[in-house]
Amino acid sequence: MKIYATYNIKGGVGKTSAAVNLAHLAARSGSNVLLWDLDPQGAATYLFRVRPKVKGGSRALVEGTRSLDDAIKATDFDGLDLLPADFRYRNMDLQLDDVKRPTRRIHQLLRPFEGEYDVVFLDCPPSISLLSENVLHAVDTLLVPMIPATLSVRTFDQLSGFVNDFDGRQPQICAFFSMVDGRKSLHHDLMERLPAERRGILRTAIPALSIIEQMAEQRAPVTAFAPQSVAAKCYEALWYEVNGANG
Amino acid sequence: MGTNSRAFSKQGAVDIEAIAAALRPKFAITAGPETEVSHTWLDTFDWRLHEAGMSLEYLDDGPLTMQLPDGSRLQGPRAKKWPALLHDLPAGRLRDALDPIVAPRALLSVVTVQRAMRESRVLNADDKTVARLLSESSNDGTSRLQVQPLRGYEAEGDQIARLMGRVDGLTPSATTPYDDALTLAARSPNDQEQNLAAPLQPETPAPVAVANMLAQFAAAIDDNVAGTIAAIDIEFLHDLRVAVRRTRSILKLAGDVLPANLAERFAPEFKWLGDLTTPVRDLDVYLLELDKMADGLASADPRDLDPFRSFLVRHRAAERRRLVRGLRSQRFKQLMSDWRTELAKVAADSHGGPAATSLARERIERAFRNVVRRGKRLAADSPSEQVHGLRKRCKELRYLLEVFRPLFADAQYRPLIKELKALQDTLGDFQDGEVQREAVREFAAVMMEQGAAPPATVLAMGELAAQLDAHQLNARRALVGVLRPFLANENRARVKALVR
Repeated sequence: MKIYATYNIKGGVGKTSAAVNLAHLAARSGSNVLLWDLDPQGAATYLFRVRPKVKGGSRALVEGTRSLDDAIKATDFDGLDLLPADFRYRNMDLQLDDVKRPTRRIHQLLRPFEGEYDVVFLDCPPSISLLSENVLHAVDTLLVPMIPATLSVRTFDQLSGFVNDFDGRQPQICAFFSMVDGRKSLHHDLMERLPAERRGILRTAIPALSIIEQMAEQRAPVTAFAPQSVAAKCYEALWYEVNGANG
Repeated sequence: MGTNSRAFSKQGAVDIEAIAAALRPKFAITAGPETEVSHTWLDTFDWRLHEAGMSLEYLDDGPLTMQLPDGSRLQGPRAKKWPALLHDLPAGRLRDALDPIVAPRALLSVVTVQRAMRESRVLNADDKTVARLLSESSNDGTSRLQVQPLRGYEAEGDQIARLMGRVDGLTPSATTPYDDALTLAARSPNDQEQNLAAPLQPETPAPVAVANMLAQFAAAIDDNVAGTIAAIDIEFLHDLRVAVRRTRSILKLAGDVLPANLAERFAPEFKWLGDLTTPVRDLDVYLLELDKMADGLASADPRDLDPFRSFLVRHRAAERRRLVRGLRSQRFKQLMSDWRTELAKVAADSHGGPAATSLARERIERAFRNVVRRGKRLAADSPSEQVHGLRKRCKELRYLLEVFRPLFADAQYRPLIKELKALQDTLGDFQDGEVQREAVREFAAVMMEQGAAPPATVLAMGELAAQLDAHQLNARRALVGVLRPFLANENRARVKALVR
């Protein structure tokens, strides 16, 4: 079971779009996939038309009084299941703080799914918190969407530094450019310069396209409702590059 | 899972619009296209999946779907052709789930039916799919509908089923599509029960009872011949051998009640048949165990045994040719045909004589006395022949207990069988250790003669022999421990009370 998370300290950078489309592509290629929408805003949950409610909220999940298993909902796409968001996830930090080994709890909760799912995606809320630390410890690969801007680069460096300080197992970081605007020269410059300067930055970039925004209208991954679109092809290339990197 | 049936049947075609009307306003239906599909189900020859409450199927060229008893499903890629052994299936979760149930048996195609199918989706108020609605119609004009809720939407599945129950002409279905298809199959899981002659009653005349058991074993032999010859999987030969061994034991232990010297006439022929099947089965067991034994090597590399494995495979191929010739021979055909005729005559003509109960009582008590006598004489350092003697007597007792099973009460039977099994397992370990060790030595000698044994292989085989020695020694140590409870007075009382 490979665990991926889409994560960035900043919001609005295309985390959910990446999680939803890559999870759909993984399921379409025959893997059994679970997407856990950890963001209390519940964008991924909304996109799959699932109600953003988990019995007992995050407390029951974190404390183990309810099994994750009972909360899982199948999406409309074969092989792709969703663990929905719940507005009460906003308190997850406090709840994690109350359990033993608070930074390893998410990893522990996912372990029983080892035989059931081939791929797990965690769609994380934008923040740096106990929850994000949990995610960093749980995942094999951290997918970091970045808008090509100087400040994003700084954030990426901070994140790499933080992960490099982990004892033992460290997730692989794969950053990629997201919401790229072809008309901006700064975007071009950074996209050319950075991959040469830093390790862990993928070649594939996701452009800012209105069809990606239409996902909220269509309530489906772009790879499902417009599989031939440029956006869908970019996500395919991204998934291929990420998967290849994990060989 | 709810209490409502989620499966329905209907005479005539399914009217999706009528169902959609019944589900409104809570749910809507998006109907998929109707397609002609061929639907195939698979199982092992001895129906292991069916017995475990599971089914394994595929549509047209689609993937395999395994249906588990709790209603959940597992999908995986299929084999290129059937019958297929598990290692012919691509690796994955489905193969892993099948392994403990199916291996070492092959999967065979049980039945294929042509159906017009339609998969529709049932949506909730958010336009989210909450269930699949599968409808299929067969040529005889009946249709079936199945509500399959998506994970996490079981409550909706129940609601949908409840609403569908109100549609005119839809009736809850007690059978599955597999049940229906099985009525068209050449073989079915119930064949064996239906083929049983009159079940054993206490007052059944002893010759009839014995002839009926032997007829069942003869049917088991017949059933497994084709699969053995076609080399579908190694269990065909195993089951054939078990039936032959049971036949021989019953002929020995109760054959005297049969008229016209039947036992004396047929015993040598069944010995021939048993001997014919031994070499291949021994080699099957060897090859099956070899990987496990190779993993236990301490000094040698498991790969050192590769020439040994190749030797066994070659040797088995030669022995198999001999076996197949034997099973295709006139001698075998004549034996089985004469045997069935004679047994049918006994079953039809025998009247009077002792009842099955008294035969069972007398023979089981005698067999038990035999086991006890030999068991008591056995010590930790007894010669191997004595241990083997006890093993054979235990086997005979076990067969008698099995064939007369319908005459016994559970209270005595179950604990007795449990302790007998424990004793037989230890005796089996002892025997396997010895036979296999001797075989390793013989094989090594033959391989050296043929120049097929590099020094590393001979050394590894020596280590194997030592491993088997240790295995046997463990069994020998355990033996006295398992014998004691079996010989205890409680078991004697159980045997006495077994057949009243």
